[in-house]
Amino acid sequence: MVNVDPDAALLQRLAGGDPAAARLLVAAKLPRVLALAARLLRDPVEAEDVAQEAFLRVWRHSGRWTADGARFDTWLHTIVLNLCRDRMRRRKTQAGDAVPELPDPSASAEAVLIEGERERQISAAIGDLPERQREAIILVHYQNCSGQAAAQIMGVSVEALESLLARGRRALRTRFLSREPAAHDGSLHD
Amino acid sequence: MTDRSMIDRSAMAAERFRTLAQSYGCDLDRWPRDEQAAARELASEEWAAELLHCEGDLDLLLDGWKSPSPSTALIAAIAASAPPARGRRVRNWRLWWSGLGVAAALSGIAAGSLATAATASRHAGSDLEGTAFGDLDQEGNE
Repeated sequence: MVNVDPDAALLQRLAGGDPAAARLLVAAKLPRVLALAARLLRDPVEAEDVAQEAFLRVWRHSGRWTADGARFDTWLHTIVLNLCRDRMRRRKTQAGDAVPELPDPSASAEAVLIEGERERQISAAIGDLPERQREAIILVHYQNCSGQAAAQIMGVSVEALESLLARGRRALRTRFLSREPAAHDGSLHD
Repeated sequence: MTDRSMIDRSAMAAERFRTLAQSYGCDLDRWPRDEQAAARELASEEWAAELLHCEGDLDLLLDGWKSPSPSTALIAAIAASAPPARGRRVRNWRLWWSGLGVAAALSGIAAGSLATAATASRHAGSDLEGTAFGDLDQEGNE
């Protein structure tokens, strides 16, 4: 089965100087880029900075696109992840482990307040995970990366990724849900 | 196949099913593609269905964390940061209709064209060797 990069045609147009290609690429990829950066950094201003930097790198290298390399989406996710990691490392050296608080929603209704609070709780819980578990869950659950792609982005094996996912999900389940999965092992019953 | 080997295979499949559910959640479309068919066969079994249901509760919870949409200002800023199209740059030089302008466009010598300047690529032994953009390390550095 031929594994064609779904972004291949657009990248070719970009490399060829098509003026519409850049706008189309931004439309297609910026939501994913921003979502990844926003969840990793939990700071909207920094997330936008990362998004802009990521696209600057895309433009810088757009003339060198080849059809036989890694998928563009995987490459782009790797760029964003590394940019975010750099920022988080800088945060730690500048301000300990303090993480910027998400801005309070301008709640006008109780439902909005409740929903906003719930989001903050989830954000905080994922933010409290060890870095690699957090990255794994964000890449797979939120960015819909395949296990193989997420492992490649993080520079780990698929087995290691699955272990990170399982541990992260277990910690989140413990924090939010009281029910643990039954200890069935699927063994054949008599 | 002996009963014992069938039991061993079943136990392995169940163990792998559990690992995948606990890693990827209840949506089998997220699971490794080459394991989805086998997973769907097992999914109807009671223990497997309960496991998926449990992971589904967590998936639903996680789905509650929404991501921001890009603002129009951000979209405009990023689009504006893209290098100008080759044709537009040649037009700016008022060479479009001249033979020199056409030749320049074809040869790709227009400054600031989307064909980036050739710089030596610094290969850092990245896992992304042979990326979509040639030899780049994982930080997009040359």
